[in-house]
Parts: sequence; C-alpha cells; structure tokens
Amino acid sequence: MEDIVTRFGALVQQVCGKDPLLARRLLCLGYRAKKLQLTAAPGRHTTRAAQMAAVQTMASMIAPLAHPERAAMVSLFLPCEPLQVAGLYPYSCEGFGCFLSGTQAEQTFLRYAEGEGLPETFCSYHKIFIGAAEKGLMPKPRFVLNTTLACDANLLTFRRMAEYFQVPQFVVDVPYQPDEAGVRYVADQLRALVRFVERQTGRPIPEDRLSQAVARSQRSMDQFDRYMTLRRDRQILGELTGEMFSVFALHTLLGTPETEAYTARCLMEASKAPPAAGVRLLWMHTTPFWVEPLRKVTDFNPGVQVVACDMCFEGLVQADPARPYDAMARRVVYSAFNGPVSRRIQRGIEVARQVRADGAVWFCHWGCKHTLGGAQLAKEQFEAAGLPCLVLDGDGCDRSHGGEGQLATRMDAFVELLRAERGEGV
Amino acid sequence: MSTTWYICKYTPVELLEALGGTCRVLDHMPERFDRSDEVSHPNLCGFGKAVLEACLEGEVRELVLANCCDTIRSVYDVLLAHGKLDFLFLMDLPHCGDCCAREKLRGELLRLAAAYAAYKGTTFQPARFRAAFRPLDRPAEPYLSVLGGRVGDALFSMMEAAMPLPVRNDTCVHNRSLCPPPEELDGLDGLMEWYGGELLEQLPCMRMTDATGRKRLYQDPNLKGVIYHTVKFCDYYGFEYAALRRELTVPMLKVESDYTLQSSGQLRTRLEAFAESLAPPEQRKGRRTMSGNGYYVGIDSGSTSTDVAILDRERRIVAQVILPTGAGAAAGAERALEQALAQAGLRPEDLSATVTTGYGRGAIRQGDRSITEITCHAKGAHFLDPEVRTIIDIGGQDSKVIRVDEQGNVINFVMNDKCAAGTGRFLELMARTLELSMDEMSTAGLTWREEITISSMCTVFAESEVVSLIAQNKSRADIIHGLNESVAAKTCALCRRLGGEPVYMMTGGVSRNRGVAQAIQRRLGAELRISGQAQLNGALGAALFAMELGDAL
Repeated sequence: MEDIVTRFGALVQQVCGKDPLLARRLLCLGYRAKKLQLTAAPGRHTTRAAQMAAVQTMASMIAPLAHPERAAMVSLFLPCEPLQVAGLYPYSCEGFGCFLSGTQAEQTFLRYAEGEGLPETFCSYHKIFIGAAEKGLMPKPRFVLNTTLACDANLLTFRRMAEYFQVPQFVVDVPYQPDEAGVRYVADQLRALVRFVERQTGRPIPEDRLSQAVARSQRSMDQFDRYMTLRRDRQILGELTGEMFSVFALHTLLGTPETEAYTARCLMEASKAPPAAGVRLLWMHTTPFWVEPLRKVTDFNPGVQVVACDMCFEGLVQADPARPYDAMARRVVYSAFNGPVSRRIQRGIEVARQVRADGAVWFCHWGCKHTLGGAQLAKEQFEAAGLPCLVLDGDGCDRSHGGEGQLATRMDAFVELLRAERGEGV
Repeated sequence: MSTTWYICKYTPVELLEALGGTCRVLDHMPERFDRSDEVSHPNLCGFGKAVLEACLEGEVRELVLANCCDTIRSVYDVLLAHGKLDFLFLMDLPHCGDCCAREKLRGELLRLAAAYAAYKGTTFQPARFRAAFRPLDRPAEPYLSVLGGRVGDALFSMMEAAMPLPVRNDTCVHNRSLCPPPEELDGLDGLMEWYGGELLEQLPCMRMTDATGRKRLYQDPNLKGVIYHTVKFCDYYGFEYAALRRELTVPMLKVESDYTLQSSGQLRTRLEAFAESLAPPEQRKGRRTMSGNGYYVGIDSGSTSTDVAILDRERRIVAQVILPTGAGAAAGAERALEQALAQAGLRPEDLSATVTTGYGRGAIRQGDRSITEITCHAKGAHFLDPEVRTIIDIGGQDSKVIRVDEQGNVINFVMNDKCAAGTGRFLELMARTLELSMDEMSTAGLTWREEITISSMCTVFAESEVVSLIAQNKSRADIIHGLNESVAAKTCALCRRLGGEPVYMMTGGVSRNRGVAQAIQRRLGAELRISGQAQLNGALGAALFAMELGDAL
C-alpha cells in the first residue's frame, strides 16, 4: 500500500509541474479512491468511530477540490457553523498540508514555496499548502476566512492566499486575554463575518439555523468530553493518523450531523471497550504520522496508546447555543491555545488526569514557535504535577526534517520509563 | 534612574514617560544564548532569545512587551516563570485598527497606566505626555534603508560602516513615529481614546491584518537601495521579502542573522559586496601610487584553498597556484604568493598591484585593496566567458549564485545561510562517511541505477540517512547520486530565488565534481559551462581588479 501511495504522490508532483489541473483531478480521484477504501475496508483494527472521522474528513477534502466555487478557505480554529448553514464547504489549508504529506506529495511544494523566498523555518503545514496553491494544484476559493488564533502562520498564509487568488478575506482578531470582554469583541466580529458571507454568496444565514448548528457543536463537544472521561478505564486502540482526523471533525466540521454522530459513536464504543491496559500517553500538538518507526510504537498497540490529543480538546467549552455568536466566540477566546502557555499546560494536566494518562509527549513541530517556546515550561509543570513529560522535536509533515531514528529512540526510551514507573518492567 | 525597556513600536512610550518612566528600545545582540536555551528552545527566533538573555542576565529589570508574535508571547511566558523582573507587562495589541480594536486598545492602555503608575508611585502628567512625542522625518537626500525584521545595534553599525550612502534603520520598532495630540484634548480617558487610534495608525508592521501601508517605506524617490534583514525563525518578514523581490525597483540585498554577531564574517562579505555593486570598485581610488613592472596579483583566500593568479599587462596568466589554506589565512597567502612568484620567475618588486579576496582577505598583509569574492567571481567569470550571466559558485564553506550584466558587474546575488548543506563541506563529510576520496566522489555516482532521495537538508541528518542506506545495502553509486541530487536541489533553489538566467557558469572547488555538475545541469535544463580555470576564478577577478587599480592611477 505504501508503494502505491509513494508512487501516487510522486505522480501528483510530477504532473503538477506540467498540467496542474490534471494533477488536481488526479488528486481528487485518489482521495475518492481512498474514501471508498476507508468506507468499504477501513482495516481490521480500525474502530467504527475512527472510520467515521476518517471518511468525514476525506469527504471534506474532496468537496473543495471538486466544487471550489462553493468553497471558503478557512483556518483550523475558525468556527465554521455559518458556512454549514450557507451550504459552503470549508477548505482547510492545514488539512491539505496534512493530506498532501499523507499522500507523500509534499516535497515539491515545500521546495517551491522556499524557492519563492518563504522562510525555511515557517510552519510546514502552511508551506506545503502555499506551494501547492501557487503551483496551481489547489483551486481558487470563493473567499478566505481566518482567525488570528492559534499562531502567526494564520496571518501570513491567509493574507498571501487572498492576494494570490485575488479573493476577499475576512479576519477574526482573537484577543490574547481570555475574558468576557474578549468574547464580546469576537462575537461582534463573527456577526460581521456572517454579514460578509451573506454579501458574498447572496444567501441569508438565519439565526435559528445557526443556533441549531451551534447546538450540534455543543452536543458534540459534550459527548467528546464524556468520552474522554469514560476512556480513563478503557483500552481503545487507534493510530496517530486517527488523532488528526478527529482534529478536523472537532474543528472545521464541528456543527455537522456527521461530527455529532462521530462523537456519539466514540461514547458508545468507549462504554463497551475492554478495561484499560498498557502505557497511556497524552499527546500535545499535531502528530507526525509519517514517521513509520513512531507509528510502530503508537498505532494499534495494546502496550502503548495515545489516549488524548490536545488539538482535539483545546476548545471544549460550555456555552448556550441560543446565543450562537457568544458560543462560537467563547470557543476561540477560551481555547487552551489562547493566552499564556500555562493555560494550555494546565488544560493538558487536567485532561491527563481525566483520561488517566501515564505521561505526556510535548511535540515540538518544526516552526511552531508557540509550542517550542513553551516546551521547557511544559516539562517543568507536567512533571511538577507528577506526569513525566517527553519534549519531542520533529516535523508533523515535512520528511526532509528527518530524524526518524532519533524520534523513535526517544519515544521508546520514554515508554520504557513509563512502564518502569507502572511497575511493568521495560 | 531605572530604565523601562520596550521592543515594539506599538508600545505606548509617551504614556510611560508621562508616568515618570525613562524608556529605551531593547536591541542588544548577545554573544550566545546559553541562558535562554536552558529555559526555552533553541529554535526560537534569535531576537526573542536575545530579550530572554538580557532579562535573565539581570540587565533588564523593567520590560513592557506587546503580544507581537508567537515568540514574544513565549518570551513573556518564560519571564513570568523565571524572569524575576521588577516590572513586566504584556499589552494585548489588536491586529487591526477599526473602532472595536481602538476601543480594545484604549482599555489596554488604561490597564497598563494603572499598573505602571502603581509600580512607579506616580500620576499621569499631561505636559510630559505631550512633550514625549518625537515624530520622525523622512530623509530628503539619497539613502539606503534597512527593512524587514529588527536589526540589532551592532549589526546596524556594521551596515552603516560598509555602505556608500547614509543608512536608515526602518526595521520593526525603529520606524516608530507618532504626532503629538491635538491641543483641545485633555484628561486621561480622552487622550487615551485618541492615543489608541494614533498608535494603530502608524506605518503597520507585518503582524497587522492590513499591511499595505508599508509601501510607504519603499516607494520613496530618495531610496537608492534596500538591505532586507530577516531573523532566523522569525517568519513575518520572509513573506514581505518574497513579495519585494518582484516589486522593488532599487537594488536589494537579503541578509539573515540569528541576532548574534557570530555570523558577522559572512554578513560582512555580503554587505561589502552590496556596497561594491552600488558603487563599482573601478570608480574608487586606490590607496597607493603604483610601481613595479606591470604584473598584477589576485589572492583568493578561501576556507579550503588559497588561490593566486598573476597577470601581465596583456591580461595573460603568468602564474597560477592553488594551495590548501592551512591553519592561518595570512601564512597560507604568503606561501601561495611565494610559489606563484617562483612559478613566473618574478620578484615581489615586479608586482604593480595586489588585490585580495575571499574569507581571509582581511587578514592578508600583501594587498593594496580587498574586494569581496562575489564581485571578484563576477569579474573573473566575465573574463573567462563574456556570455555568462549567472555564476553558480560552490566552495568549501558556502555556495552562492551571482547574476552579472554584460560588463561583468554584479546585478544581484544570494548565498546559503550558516549551513553546510549544499556546500563542499557537505560532500567532504559524506565522502568520509562513504570512505571515498573527493576525486572518487566526483565520478562514483555517474553509474547509478536506482533513484534514491536523500530527503534531509540538514548535514547531520543526511549523514544518518547515508548510514542507514549503507545498512540497507544500497549501492554506493546510488547513494552518491542521491547526495549529488541533494546538493543540486539546494543550489537550484538558490538559483531560482535569484531568478538565474542562461548562460550559466559553475565555479569553485565543487565544479570539479562531475556528478554534482551534471545534476545541476539537468535541473537547470540549460548548459552549465565549467572553465578549466573554474577554481581560480576568484583570484583571476581579483587580479583584474588589481590591474584596474593600477590603470586608475
């Protein structure tokens, strides 16, 4: 299978150099084939919930490629319920960065972006997407919507994309202080965003339908939170890629019936799962799913499981769906990624206790300054809370940053340490 | 009196001064980042680490930050935990300037005013507030501007010293400029409402949503050139640089620093080469009256070899020597010059002018003038082949691409940044891993069968990759081919960044590596000319300048 993916990735890169539209059609075809495979034969160990998240995410990648005229380019943390009501497809920049890497088609686009003068130290998810867009692989969206949360890359990539495609852009400025004034500030901007989308599409976004979508978001988040609590005593095997599918289900696709069904399924499966066993890891930040030796440690392994990933739970908040703008604003303003890094660390410690994690992995994705900057503080604070913490340097999607052997050795050693702490012997 | 340090132009300096503060921009460039690396991460932007160093060393006791970027937010996080500062404040700065953002900023100004007044034990003095405004004027004479990510004080002084025109620091905090408030405004609340808007209406920095106002920085008729500076691991300004490459009509030099002076040698070469391209060396006067018998010497002191060329009045090469540089640049140059003189049967008195170039040029005593290797390579390549428009030079320590005009003048150039990948050093290390000589490396990859991609751009990681490939029993020819392709990819990326055009010439020690040269040629899709004198190119260019130096007098 890996050979097919490698060849397909090489073909997409090669064709894109000569005929970007053909390469796009190829990519779309490949993703449709993958969706079919995920639907019909997801793999022996894949749970139904994981399959649902994978299929839903796959469909969300195909939609903007097939129907760009109905696609709005979005950042990961942008509340997307207004788009769902307007019948638009969220077109995720980070999602495509991730998927192109999964397709092993990232190197040409990374090098192209760097050749255009973009910094080598810039986030590789964003750099892959920019390279692919400017080489003609990615289609022109209807418009661009983004938040300033959670990193500087948002400001740079989306502004560049709006200029490149010559489409309008709307930016939601998320203030640093997580407080009620911030919620009001963002809620006002989200109202303006809805007016912007209505103007651009000529379609109204009725508040009652927006409330219904936001209510689905709240129910989904509530179910996911209960699932994490239930998971504390259960063993559910999964894979690093699955955590990333879950991230998309709980962000750009939050508010859809599919995400609600996915979180309900998580809850149901957790209640029937066998008792907890093996080393349990809390994962902080994105997962480098392309690192094969690392996947051997974490994927479908009864001895080691990633039991939670902070990209999935950073925005779980209680809010009133009857006030949809307030609810959506609350999610970004009180996101664990907003404000001082200690909020993110404390939220990690809370969830580690909720899911009974044995230790935490703080993954320093190349170019993510927020995560890099907080690495030592995270180690100090997790360990002060009695949770061993591994700071792992790597790249979520750029293979040229290498170091696979080093990553796996560190992870193995950390697992041995945690096993010893559990009294299981290495 | 204590100093309150700040780093961002949106900092309300006038408000702090109205509350009794003495404010200064924090721009110190440290030697190392030992303390900051302990408490944060080595891959944080160098400026952020410089702020941490200054605070952890105890040099800074009062600091007002704005949430400018991810790094500064991290700096604040670390200082909260480890800083032990007397006063530390992070102002939440909106990303836009609309009414809501102004209102939001007014609240932040009042929050800061309350905290600072309580710390200082002072009250707001409206007269001091008004007196604190010092708007900047734009220059009325021709000047050069440093744009992009902030430049530290020491690096800026180096730029000023190297350039032939006045240089203006327009980076980051240094283009801060606010006009005083209207007379009719009074009271803290009223003034802060106006002040918030005024701060946000400044010439924007790249973290603001709408950065179009920055065009004012480079659409000035008096602007004659731009030094574009980026700080390693700061991404904001790389994007503006990428756009300016297409838009700017005046010459531009790109330099990147890690906010230490460790890379000053390499930066100095680029700055001097840029200065030379703004005012060609033949227009400058030599330092001494020429004597001798009409022989002209060029000495190129590189990291690996020292090359000497001697020309006679007819521009014929009468001696050429290539020797390993050894431990010292000066001693290596003396040795090479002695051999060249012996080769030509000349005495030192026969020499009319000597020009030195290369990394070691500053350390050599024999020269009448020093000219950077960039300008000398352009001159030398033009001499060897006047059709050449792009030179790809891969030496032991760096690689560079130089574009030249039909007279052999430098139009533009790029160099790799403080990294061995894509240089002769990279190939040397890999040859050692594969237990091959450099000559064997040159041809061993030509018989490859399987396409192997060495994906890592980092020399250290690439070495581990090569070791794993050896363990996988991959053939040596295939591995070397993969390495050649890796060097070619890096070089061609530099070439694309510069907008290289045919005719291409390759110079430097790596030009003798056939595998690399073929890989570059394939990727360029154009002929790559390699002269038999390719390694002597820099020294030849220097000798030609020596001849012009003699002619000028």
